[in-house]
This record gives sequence, C-alpha cells and structure tokens, in this order.
Amino acid sequence: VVGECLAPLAPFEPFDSANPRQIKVQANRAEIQQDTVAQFKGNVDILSNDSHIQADEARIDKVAQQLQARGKVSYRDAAILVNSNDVSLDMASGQFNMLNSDYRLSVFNGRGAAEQILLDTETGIALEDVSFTTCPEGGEDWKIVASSITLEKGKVWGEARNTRFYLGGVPVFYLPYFAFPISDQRQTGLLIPEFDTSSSTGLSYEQAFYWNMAPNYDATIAPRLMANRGTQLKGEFRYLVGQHFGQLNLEYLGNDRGLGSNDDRYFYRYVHSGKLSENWQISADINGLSDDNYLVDLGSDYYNRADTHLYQTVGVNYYSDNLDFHMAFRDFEVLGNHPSTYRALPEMKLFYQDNPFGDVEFRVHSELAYFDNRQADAPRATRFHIAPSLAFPYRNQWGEFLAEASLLSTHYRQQNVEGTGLSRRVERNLGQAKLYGAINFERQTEWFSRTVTQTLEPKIQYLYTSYEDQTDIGLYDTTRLLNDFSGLFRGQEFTGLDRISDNNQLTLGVTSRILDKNNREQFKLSLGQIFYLDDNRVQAASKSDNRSALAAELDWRLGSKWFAHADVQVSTANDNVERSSMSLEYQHDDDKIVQLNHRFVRDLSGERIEQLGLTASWPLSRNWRWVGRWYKDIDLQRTIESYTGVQYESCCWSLALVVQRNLINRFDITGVQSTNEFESSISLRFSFNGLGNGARNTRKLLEDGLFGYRQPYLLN
Amino acid sequence: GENDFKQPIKVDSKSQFVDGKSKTSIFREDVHITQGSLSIDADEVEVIAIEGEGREVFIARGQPAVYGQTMDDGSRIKAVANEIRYQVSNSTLTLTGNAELQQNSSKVSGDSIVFNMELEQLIAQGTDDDEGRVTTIFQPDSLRSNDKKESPADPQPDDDKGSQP
Amino acid sequence: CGFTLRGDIRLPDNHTGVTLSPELTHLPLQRALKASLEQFQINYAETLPASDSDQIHIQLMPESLNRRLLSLFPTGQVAEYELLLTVRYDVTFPGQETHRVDFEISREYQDDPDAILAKSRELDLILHEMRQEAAERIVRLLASQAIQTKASG
Repeated sequence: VVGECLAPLAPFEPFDSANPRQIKVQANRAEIQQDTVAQFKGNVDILSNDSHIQADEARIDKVAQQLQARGKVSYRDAAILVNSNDVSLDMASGQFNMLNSDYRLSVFNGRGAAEQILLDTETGIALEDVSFTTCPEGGEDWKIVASSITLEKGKVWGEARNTRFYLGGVPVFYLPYFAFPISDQRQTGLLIPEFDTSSSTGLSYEQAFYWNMAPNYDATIAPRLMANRGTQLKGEFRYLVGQHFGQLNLEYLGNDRGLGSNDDRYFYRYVHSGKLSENWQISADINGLSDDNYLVDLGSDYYNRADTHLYQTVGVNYYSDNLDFHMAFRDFEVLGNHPSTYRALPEMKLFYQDNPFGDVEFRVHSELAYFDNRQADAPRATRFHIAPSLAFPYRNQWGEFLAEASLLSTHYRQQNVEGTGLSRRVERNLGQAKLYGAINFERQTEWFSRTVTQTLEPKIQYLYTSYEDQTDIGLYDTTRLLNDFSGLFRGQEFTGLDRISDNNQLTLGVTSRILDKNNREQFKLSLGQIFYLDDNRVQAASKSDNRSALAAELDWRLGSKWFAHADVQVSTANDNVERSSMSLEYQHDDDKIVQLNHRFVRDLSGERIEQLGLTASWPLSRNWRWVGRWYKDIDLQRTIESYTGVQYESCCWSLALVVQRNLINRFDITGVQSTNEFESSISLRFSFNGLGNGARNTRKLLEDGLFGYRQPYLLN
Repeated sequence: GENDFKQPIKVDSKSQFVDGKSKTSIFREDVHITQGSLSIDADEVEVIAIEGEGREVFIARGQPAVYGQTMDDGSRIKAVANEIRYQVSNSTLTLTGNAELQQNSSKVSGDSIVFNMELEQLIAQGTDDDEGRVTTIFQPDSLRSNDKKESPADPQPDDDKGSQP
Repeated sequence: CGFTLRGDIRLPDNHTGVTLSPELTHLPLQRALKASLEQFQINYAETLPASDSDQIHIQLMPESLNRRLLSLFPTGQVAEYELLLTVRYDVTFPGQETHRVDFEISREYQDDPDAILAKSRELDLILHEMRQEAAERIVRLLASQAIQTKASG
C-alpha cells in the first residue's frame, strides 16, 4: 500500500550560517543599488534560517521592505512546500503572500492547490480558495474544497469554511464550517463523518465547532445527534493563563427519548492545575453527572463505562527539598447504591526528610484528616498520625541493604459512635522494625545453544510490628491491599491507617533473568513468599496459614515471534490457586497478532472470576484487515464480549465495519445492577488517513471495544 | 571618500619599474599602497597615469589582491579579487576572478563585480554553472529600513582577519 | 555453580554524571529519579545542558496513566483494572543525537465501590511504587545505553 502513496515531505534543513538571522542569496547575476534595491536574475536561491525560496528572479526593496520572487517560484519551510509563480514577503511584518500555487503540508501528509496562501511564522498558515487531500496524484479518492483553511500556530485545531467533500470526484457533503485536530495532543474531536449505530444511541453523528476566542483560551462545541435519544450538546472550554491551565467540560442532553422518563441528563468536569509560586501548586479535579447510567448509555472521553465513581477533589501542594505539604478536600460522585461513602474534608499531609549524619535518613510522615460520611448517622473521625523513622540504607554495585526503625503514633476523636463498639477517643502507638537485603549474582551460560548472561537476584526481608487492639477504631480509609508479587515486600497489608497489622514475618524472594548480549531480557522468573513467624492478633489481618500464597511471575520470549507471560499465587497449605493470569501471544511484525489469555481469581470481594480471552488481528490482503476479539466468562459459561471488525485501508482513507456485543453494567432505579444486560452495536467508520489521526488505524481497531489489547509481557 | 585622491600616495614594494614615456609604473612583490583611507595590497600593481591628475588607473593583481577604502558615509568597503582595476575618473572598481566585495554588512562574491562608488551601484556576474553563481549575504540589520544608519563605530561582524591597514 | 557477584548499575568512566531539566524539579517522576540516582551514587545537577557538556541529559516528558479492563463481575461491573504508566523521556549522551525512550510499567488494581476513599489511597500508593520502579528502570537503561554508545561511539 505504501508504494504509490504520497511520500511524506522530507524534513526541512535550514541553511546554517554563523549568524542565524543572516540571509544568503545566490543568482547568476546581481544588481545592487546600495541600501535601496537589489535585483537577482537566473537560478535564484534565497536561503534564511527558517525558509528557502527558489525563483527565476527576485527583487529585494529595502526602502519598501518588500521581497518579490517571480517566474517558477518554490517556497519551502518546516511546515509547507509551495510552488507558485508569484511570492512576495512584507519584510516589516514577516508575512508571505503566494498566489495561485500548489502546496504540500508536512504537519499532516496532505497536498492541494490554493488561490492565495498567507503565511506568517507568528500566526500560522491561511489558505484561500483551497483544495486539500492526502491521496497521491492520480489516485484522488477524496478531496475537500473550501473557501478557506486556517492552521493557526500553537492551536490544537485547524478550521475550514464552506467545505465541500468530494468522493471520487462527486460532491457528497457540504459543511459551512468544520474543525479538525492538527496536533497529536489527545484530541477526541471529529474526524470528518464518523457514523456509529449502537443499541443505546441508534445512528449517531457528531460535529465539532472550534471557537478560537483568544490567544490563551479557546473552546470546542460539538452537538451529537442520536436517533434513539436526541441531541446531546458537548462543550469543552480550555484556558492557559500564566502558570495556570485548566479545562471545563459540559455535556447536556435534554429529555432523553431513550429513557422511559424522558428526563434531562448532564455531565460536568472541571480540571485545573497551576503554579502559585516556585514551591506552591494548586489542582482541582471536579466531576459530576445526572444519573448512574450516564456513562453506560452515552459514553465519555474521560471515564470508562464500567467506572464506579468520579473524583471531586481540590488540593494544594508545597514542595521543597526536604519538606512537602499536601492539603486536599477529597470527595467522590458515587455511581450505584453505595450510601456510606467516606470522604476526607480535608486531609493534610506533612513529609519531612533529612540526613542527620552520613547515609542515615531521618523521615517524618504526619497526617491530619477529618473523615465525613454522606450518611448522617455514620461514625465520623478526626485523625492525627505521626510516624518518625530512622533508616540506614547501604548500596553498592552488587547489592543493597536497609535497616529501618519507625514509631507509628495515631490519635482519633470519633463521633456518632453510640452502639458501634467504637470509642470517642483512641490512641495507638506501634513500633516497627524492618531489615532488608538483596544481592545480585550472574554467570555466563548456554540458553538454546546461545551464550547468555543469567542473573540470580535473591531478596530477604524481616518485618516486626508491635500489636495493639484496634477494634475500637472505625474503618475510614482502610481496606485490604491486593497482594501480588510486587506487594510482597511492601510490609503493609491495609490501605490508609485505620488498621496496622502486627507482624513478625520473613519474606523471601528470588528473580532470575536471562539477558542476551545486548542486555535484552529473554526470560524472567520471579518467586516470593511470606513466612509468618506467629499469628496475627489484629483480627482483620488474621490468616488461615503460617505462610502467604507463593507468588510467581514468568515472562518468556520464545524466539522472535512467540511470547508467554504467567503470574500465579498458590497457597502452599492446600495447593489451590488463589489467583492466576496467563497469556500466550504469536506476533509477526505488528499486524499479525494472535493472543490467548486466561484469568482466574478464587475470591474477589466474594465473587469467583474465571475468564478466557482471544484477540487477533490478521491482514486479509494488502488493503483488507480483520480484527477479532472474544472473551468468555467461564464461571457463568457466557460470552461477555464478542467483537469483529473488517477494515479496508487505502493510502488516504479507511473504512471500517465493526460489529460488537458486550455485557454492560446498567443500574435499575433502585441502584442495583442487572446481571445480564448486553449492548450490541454495528458501526461504519469512515476516516481520512493522515488527517491528524496519528495512531495507525489498525492499532485503533485492536484497542477498541471493551477489553482492547495490550502486549502481555514486559521485557525490556 | 572623494578627497582620498588629493592625499599623497605612499607606496612600498620589493621592486619598482617606471616607464616615464607611457607614465606607467609597475610595483612588484608585497606591494602596499596607501592614499588617504585607500589601501591596496597585491603581488603586482600597475599605475597608469598617462591621462594626468585625477584620471589614474590602478590595476592590482594578487592571489588575491585586496582593496580597502572608507566611503563618504563612513562605511568601509573591502574588495578582494585576482585582478582589481580602479578607474579614478569614474570612480569605478572592476573585480575579476573570484571577486568579493563587502560593504556595511552585506557581502557579494562572484566571478566578476563592477562597483560604481559614486552611484553606489554594484553589478555582479557569475559563471553559468551552479557553483559559479553570485552569492550575496545580507546581515539582518542591513535589511532593516535604513532609518537606523550604521555609525562607523558599529562593530561589524567582519570575519576577514586584519586586512584593514 | 559459577555465579559471581554482578555489578550492573554503573556509568562508564567517561561520563561524569547526569543533568535534569530544572523546571521539572517538583515533578513526582523527577523526584523519584533523583532518589534513584542518589541510591546508585550517580551525581546529577538540575541545569540545562551546555552544548559541549560531558553530562548525560535526561528530559522527562509528561507521563500518562491509563486503565485497561482485565476482568468483569457478573454484573458487568469492573472487577480488575490494569494500571499502565507510560514513561517517555529524551536522553542525550555527550556529543550524540538526542533519542526518545519510552516504556510502560503495569500493575493490577481492583476497584471496590464500597470502599472508594480507601481504594483511592491504594491508587496513590501503587502510583508511587510504579514511579519508583520507572525511575530505577531509567537508571538501569542509562547504564546499558551508556555501555552501548561507548562501544559504538
């Protein structure tokens, strides 16, 4: 396909002169009237730091500050190549004016003709009476003709006015105005007509309008017409003021025909981050929506359909070399029926670190937070925590050792505790000691008849934490931590601070890698296990066995086309698998991929999860490609996602037909989720290649849908 | 400038040959001529004064020959070429053979350059092939509108070493 | 069985140290990178590189954190996510072209609508650990790239 496509413009090399603002003119003949006019004739080349002009003749009038180039003129800079017969430059304003020319753009690989091109390094490029396509000469499957296209410097969107779309020379579509993304910033905007039909929205079409209000703020308004629901208005307003930048998103759908109750639905999102001074920063991430099913029914560019909550946080941070301070109000918009959600209004953290002598590190973590709950009668608490610690790290080329001792002192004042077994005032003081050692060994060995380096990296950690009864402390920001291989050495079993388990445990771990001659991992196996030297007395942390599950992780590159990954946690007492995930992938260059994966979790919040997945992308011919995915819930013996997409891709456009059906989590009125509600959709996606949609289309298809795709292994 | 040619001429060279009849003198080997702000350095300089005072013709040849002079407006010009011919009568400088002329901050180089200093008009001609084309280099300030006149004290980025006398 | 002690994190002698861009001094990933450089006794300065500097310059790009679905509950609710931290940075060895490096760090994470505040703490903790692993990987890659450029330099 690449053969006869439009070859990208070669990068522009500026003429490098000692003084960057020097201009060099070469010609067969030069006539210079000192300080007034210079005429050049024959094979003229005008070279400057940011452009190169070639012409039959040129005239530089210093008095009128005008440069004119005539005859067969070509202008080239980093963004555009223009062939014209008349190029003039107003040297005072630095603006070029080029008449009836044809051009090639480099920002995206496109070309066309234009009656007039106004070009200025400060403001950008404006093309009047212009045609544009990304198709090669002779293969013009599509083109657009517009009265004007403007590509403003530093802006995320280009704008076109009075645009007529031609498919194969036939005008098929007219738009008075449309905006298209010209930077590779995550831009979700419209790529000319994207038609989707899904069971929840019906036929839908979205059209973006870009409003370039001022140099430092702009907006995009995108109405979205949906056959089953009506018109949704999506607006995004961006600003950049000094060291502060932010974005406000508003989405509104008046009386949604898709809902029995026809009520209005909205979504808002406000994100801000800014520097108050060298050390102070503020940030905000505030979201909200009208009902629990908004994301499932209407989708969102910012949240996944299956999300459980949205953030409502405002925070201020102070950073300095050895003192950090963080204060935030952390609340959530919760989806579904979860009444008792705690929030921190506010939480403050102070972190101080210093090296009193030599390599010894003295650190103090301290926290003050007030936990409030949406339910009026739920317990509330003010919690103050301070944890000074002394650490003696030692590291050299082949190993590292760490000895650390810390005191964890926490004070609670709890309200609404009547009849809950919690006390009004609680103080908990615990001591913790940690010893950690890791040594790296290596040797040369044979691996499939090739000499390689094998490493052996044993690790060992002893952790002791004293015990105090904590049953009279409520659970505000604490829950069990997911324990996988990376968490084995963490020495912390709960999030937050409301439960700190007593420990007297030894953790052993070992990793072995096979590295080829240029240090690339071919094989990596890690094993690890915690040995509990006595039983936990903190009731929430009690365990059924004196050893944790054995955690193992394997990544293996079998030759150049096959890759395997597995991570498993096996409880050594009864040999049953707590959790496992395996995947095997065949990959032959990046468009022939088949991946089989299996996932199992014995108990995840009381549910058993077992899932099989197959993802494949395969070329059918030079221009045709098929992408398929099938995920099955083995526990309930049902398919939870089936996805198939066929795509035709030519040089400058692609058409994809995607059919998919997947499980969705809709809430009924009582906030309870149904367990077998599915959504199916057929979508026909036409998109122009090379027009600001950098990601290769096939990759986009592969990562589309519910489960998407990701390489299963992480070898570097 | 103009009054350079009323100044006394000072010449030093290894050898000198004067032909009184045709009023032509030829100086050879490390010839160094100064007259007011005018200076010529060359391997051989021929001075033809047959047409009398104020109509002399200087022909300097060298690998290259160098000619420098300060103009009335205070700007310094410097010319370099295999052969430099200067006719005082019409104050025209003709450079042939990889010629180069620098004034203010613009520099022109080419196969042959004719520069009329009175009219401040320069015509440069290159050979046909690409390499032999005339090259003109404008410094950024020289393209600015000429309200800001350069004063002689303006430090020019002069990349030729020490040829000024 | 032939194992000897292995020293893997060291810069070849002709590199004196690393420079990092000053205006990112408070970026969480840059703070983790500084801690990692200190651990491996590689000296660094937060200054823009002089054109002829003999230091290795690392210019961190904005990181991106994405989530990918790993498994569903019977209700269609997310059971497990995969957190993907994509780290991008430009590294310039003395006298060499700048080249872009990017890699991904992934962790599994499980959401729980009944303990949202606690789970947001877990997310912060995992993100902190991912940045520490990313920082160590940048330093580890630096050492092996330095050896390669020295070999081919």
